[in-house]
Amino acid sequence: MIHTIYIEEEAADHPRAEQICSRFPNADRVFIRRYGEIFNRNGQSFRLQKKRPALILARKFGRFVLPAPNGYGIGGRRNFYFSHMLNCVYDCRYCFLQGMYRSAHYVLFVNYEDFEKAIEAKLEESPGKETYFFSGYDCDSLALEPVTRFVESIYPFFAKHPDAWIELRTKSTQVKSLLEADPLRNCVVAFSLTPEPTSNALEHKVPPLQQRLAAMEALQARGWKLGLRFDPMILTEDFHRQYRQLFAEVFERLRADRLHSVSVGPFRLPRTYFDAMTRLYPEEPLFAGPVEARGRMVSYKKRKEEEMMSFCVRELLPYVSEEIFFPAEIDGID
Amino acid sequence: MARGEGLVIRLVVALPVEAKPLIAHFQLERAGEARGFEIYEKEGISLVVSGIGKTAAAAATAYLQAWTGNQPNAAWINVGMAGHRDLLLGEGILGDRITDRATGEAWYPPPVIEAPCPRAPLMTVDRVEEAFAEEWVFEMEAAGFYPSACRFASAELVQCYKIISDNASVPPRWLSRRQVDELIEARLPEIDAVVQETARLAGELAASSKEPLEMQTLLNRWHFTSTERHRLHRLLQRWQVLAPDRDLLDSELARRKTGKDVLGLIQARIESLPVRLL
Repeated sequence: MIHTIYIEEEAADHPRAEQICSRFPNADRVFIRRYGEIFNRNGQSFRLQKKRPALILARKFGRFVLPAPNGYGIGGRRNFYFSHMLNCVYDCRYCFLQGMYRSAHYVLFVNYEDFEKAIEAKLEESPGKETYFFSGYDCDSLALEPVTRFVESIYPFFAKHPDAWIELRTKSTQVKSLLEADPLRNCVVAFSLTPEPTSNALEHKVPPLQQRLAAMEALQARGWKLGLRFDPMILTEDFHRQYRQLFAEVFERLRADRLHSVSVGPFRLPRTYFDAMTRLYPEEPLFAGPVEARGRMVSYKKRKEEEMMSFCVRELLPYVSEEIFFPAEIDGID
Repeated sequence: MARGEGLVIRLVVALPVEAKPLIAHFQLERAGEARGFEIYEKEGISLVVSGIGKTAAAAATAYLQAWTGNQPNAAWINVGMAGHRDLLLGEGILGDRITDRATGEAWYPPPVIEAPCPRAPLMTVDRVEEAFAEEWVFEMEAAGFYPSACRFASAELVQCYKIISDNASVPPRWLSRRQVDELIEARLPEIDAVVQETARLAGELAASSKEPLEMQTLLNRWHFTSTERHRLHRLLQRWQVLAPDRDLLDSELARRKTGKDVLGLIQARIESLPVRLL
């Protein structure tokens, strides 16, 4: 799967870098000074790199934990995100990473211990107050777990800090390490879901919906808290039928009363990202469809978006109690 | 080597003796009018003979780009001889890092194609290397060629392929013209594979930036401002995606008086189309 590993000089002697390299004995290894020599340089094509991305092992310095963007919360007041990895093994056509980065290589920051220190520092700013940390913003939290062992590594930290909530956001079925561990009270494993036909059309390399549902069932049975993220909602001509069917399928297999949270969010992208993505994939029907620029963002037309949102809210409320339901505010987008 | 498929390939080679087998293989013909550098070409494939050294390679690369009419999305390959302390003569190498020994600058050709040969770091030197003190593939053009070609093409489309012609046991001065010819001849299948794979990627980018079918027809008939042209381009792309089998240029469109009216009608038609993702 990984054919080339770029290794930062600063990261080369980190035990985690050595451990990861040993998993790929046949991969080409290229030593670099800083990951910025490779990643996100001008004159690269995300589309071409996505065909055969390399892994970059780097060390992060500073800005480990950042305030979460508006609308990212799931009930907490203090929300932060962190990115131990940039880019994702999947290739979802609506994903903002395609517009944000010029490179599709995966950057893995191997110094997880420094992320932990930064999280601890945030907790010390407000002792005793619940703080949420989102890990799946610039990557899928679990998809590369067999390689990164990220969740396995941070598990003891969050086990020791009950006020620190962590959301692992994923579309993957890589839940083995979670199933083998005792569930953490302060961890939410949040799955992003779209209807199966939409997933098949847009979420390239993502495991089939049925497999993801099976992974979710297993996690719930093991006692892990699950989150459902119907985000982004994608418009199709049979939107109502598709989403109704998705909700029915999900709640047939999962116990709604044991869910941590459910959220719904519209398809929205910063305009500059949308333009970059359209240039990358001009033949993509999603980008050719009925979207409009609203301020700095691109999304479906407001009326359509409101209609989609109210439909989903209406359809979800019979399954989900309002206390754990977080539909995005449409007016909050600009 | 498949031809006539719209592939755009640019080859940069230092010496006539290195160019000769490639010219024969790709059946290229000399472009008589070219001045300053010898250029050979045929059906989208062009080759320039740069002369030795990174400065010459950079200049020849830029010259070839200008000569071929500033076409975007070409595959650029630098083919040449190189030395390495231990590697066997005749081994083909695709550069995964290029370092300019004089400046310390480094570049990393993205490993997007499946290499038919091992990858290794290249060190561009200003004088022929005979000491081979380090584990590098020593050569003399890549650090000039690569950054120059990257001005004209996405980095994934720019690659350096080197054949080991000398090592610690066989110094470069022993190399004859005939041996160079034979070394390249023996590696033509690998060179072909690198060229084809890179050109295939280039073709994918070219297809995605292709001008929509009706663009010229509409530009010939109505006046569009620069901003309107951009909008027209994108609207036509969208139309092609959403209604590939429907004719856009009908009598209703023909009755529009201005470019702005045309844009409005196309936009309205697109918005009335059903939203399908496949």
